[in-house]
Amino acid sequence: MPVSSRAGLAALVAGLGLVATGCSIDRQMGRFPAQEAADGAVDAPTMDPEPDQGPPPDLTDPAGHWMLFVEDRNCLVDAGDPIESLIWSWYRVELVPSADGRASLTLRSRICKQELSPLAFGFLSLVPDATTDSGEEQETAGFLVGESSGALFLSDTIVDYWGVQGLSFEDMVPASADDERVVDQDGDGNPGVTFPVVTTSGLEICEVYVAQRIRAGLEGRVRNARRIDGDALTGTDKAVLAASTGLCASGDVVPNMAGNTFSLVRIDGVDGSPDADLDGDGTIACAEIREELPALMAAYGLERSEPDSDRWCPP
Amino acid sequence: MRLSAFGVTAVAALCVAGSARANLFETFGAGARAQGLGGAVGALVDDFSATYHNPAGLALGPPRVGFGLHGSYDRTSILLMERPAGYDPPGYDARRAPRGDTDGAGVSGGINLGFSLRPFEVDFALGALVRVPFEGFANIDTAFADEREQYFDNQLRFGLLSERLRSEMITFGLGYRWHYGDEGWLAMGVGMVVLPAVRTVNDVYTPNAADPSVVDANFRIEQTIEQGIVAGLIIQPLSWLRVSASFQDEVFQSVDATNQVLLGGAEDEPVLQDLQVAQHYTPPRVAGSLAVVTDTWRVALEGTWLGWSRYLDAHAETPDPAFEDTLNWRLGFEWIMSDDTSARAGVGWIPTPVPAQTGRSNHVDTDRLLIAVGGGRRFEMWEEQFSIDAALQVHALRETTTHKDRLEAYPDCAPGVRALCDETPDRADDSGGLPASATRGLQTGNPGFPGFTAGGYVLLAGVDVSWLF
Repeated sequence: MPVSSRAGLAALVAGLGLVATGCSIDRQMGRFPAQEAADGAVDAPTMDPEPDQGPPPDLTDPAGHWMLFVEDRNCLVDAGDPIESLIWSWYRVELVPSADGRASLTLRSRICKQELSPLAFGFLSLVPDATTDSGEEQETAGFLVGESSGALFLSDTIVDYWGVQGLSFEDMVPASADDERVVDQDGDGNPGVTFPVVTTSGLEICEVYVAQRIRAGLEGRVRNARRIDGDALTGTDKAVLAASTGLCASGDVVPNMAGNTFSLVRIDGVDGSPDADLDGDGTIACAEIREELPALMAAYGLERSEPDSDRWCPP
Repeated sequence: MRLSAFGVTAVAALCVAGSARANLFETFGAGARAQGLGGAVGALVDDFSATYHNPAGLALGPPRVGFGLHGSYDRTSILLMERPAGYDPPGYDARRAPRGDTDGAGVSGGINLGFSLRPFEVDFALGALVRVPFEGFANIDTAFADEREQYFDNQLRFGLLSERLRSEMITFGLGYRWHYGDEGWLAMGVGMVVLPAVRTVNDVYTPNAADPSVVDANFRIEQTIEQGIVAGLIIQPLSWLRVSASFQDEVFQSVDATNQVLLGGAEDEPVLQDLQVAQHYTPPRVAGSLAVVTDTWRVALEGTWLGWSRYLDAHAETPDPAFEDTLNWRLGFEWIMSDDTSARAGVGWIPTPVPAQTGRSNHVDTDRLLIAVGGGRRFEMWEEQFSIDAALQVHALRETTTHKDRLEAYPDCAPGVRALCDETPDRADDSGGLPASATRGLQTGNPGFPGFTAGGYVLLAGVDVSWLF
């Protein structure tokens, strides 16, 4: 190859190299500003998240409005390994001491909100507020044996019926939509109550129509003047009446009697407790509890457990 | 609560594929001579690479058997802009792969094996060319070009480069030359580009929908082929002038899978899952070339129309907005330095068919400048004639920055939505399982949000050795 040809080839190769080395790129800045009130965050608590210092140690007067938080452990069973499903329920509770000053109490309770833990793939069964709001106030008996920290607190079982009526405590929950005891409680035209099933991003997969009985008996101890903690004797007896698709039909739920807990926390401003009476009408409605729920949970340091199938639902 | 639907998606990846890919030849050219001329060989091709560029060229050169080594060095990059705060959809932190930049595929290579024969008479020839990548045969690698990709690699890709440089290729064809007058001749040819395809029907049974890791499945897999016709002609009306035209139909590798899923407890209601793959789509191509041929040099100008508007992405979906048809220009020069030695150079401009990706989709591509050099030499060994050709080619990508459009309001993500979309529709209350505050405004995990910059370069080096007989 002549010298001139080699020189030309070398120049071309050098040119290719120059093109290549000049092709590095730089990262640019985006034009979107930061966005507020999103990012999966909940509303900031509007109440002081730290209980005020020195709450009265004795619960001298329990009369007033409280919020009951119940964590109910269940196992989903089928042909494979069981999977834990947690059900969290929030009740509005009004404690009414007996007039004779003895240890007996009356609990006027109403379930305000219920959530379930996500299952496989993050699918989530929702309990609409319309369902909880369609329930009725329950009145049960309770006992507070003493005033000081560690005093025993007991209650009869609070029983809520969703999508079914005329059922006794011992009766099986009817599994047929044709059963005369099944009612369209939430008024949506479907039997029982309707639970939408959604993904974590809120995409609705299907609807499940169920009848169920929710039981919660309380056995705890006074922690201070505004909080009682203990074990919850819980159970959810559920029957799937129908589903928008057959694939969303529910499987068997086995209540787990161990590990269920409750916290009964004061929310009427008495003894330094948070005051959820947003409209100042002297009473606390479920809507007010729902609106202030993040703040109330934060104020009392209440947290939801993570499902732990290995521990609570072993094969 | 156990939901039977939990198992539905457990089998989404059960399609099995074996395949070839297009189209490395489209990017660089088929064979070292074509690569050295920048791909402008429609009127000059005379070996088995004509089966891809223009089958008429099979009839122009001597019969031969050849072997080639070709390697590319992919240094393309896609740099993602930093995500601003407050746009994460629920669970975004738990994605399997964090959102990240994309680097090119690095070094890849393969061998070309080809032949051209004249079994019957001087001016009738047939030939074939096969490229086998070193990385292995039968690879499929798909990705989504919108927010769905956040659940997978969570990156963007150069859909028309990168993995395509690791492609397999099979072409074959026939060519015939007809002489007329003293110097004139006309050559014509037809050929075919063949790509394997896969059809699968899978029966899946998930005994416990709450535990989708347990799956029983039967597979029915059928290997078929996809083919695209190639045809062309070359006319030499004057001793120094050649005109060519060629056509290639669209072709792409396909996977068509159907899963029939049965879930324990709901055996009477099977779920059908249709999965489509259209890998490495090669658009219909019409090329026209004009070449001046003398004893000491040859120069060819080639324009190629590519019907990218028919493009199907990796999941057999038509992009929205659709790609645009393009017209590429390539100029090749060959200097006949002696009876046995030649030098080559080429340039080309390859406009991107991809419109600005300011909405939901993230098809990444940029305009490219092509520069090529090469050379060839014939030599004698063992009393036989051989040729060796070499080429070096670089594609410089024009740096392109894409910003997603800011809108007054963002539509909810749904099929047919073109704009950047909201994955979590706004809610008035907390009843949807999420705090209402977490749904306000735009929530998107689209890996291309809020924008990205793409650029870089791709180098190719190729060497072919042929035995001429």
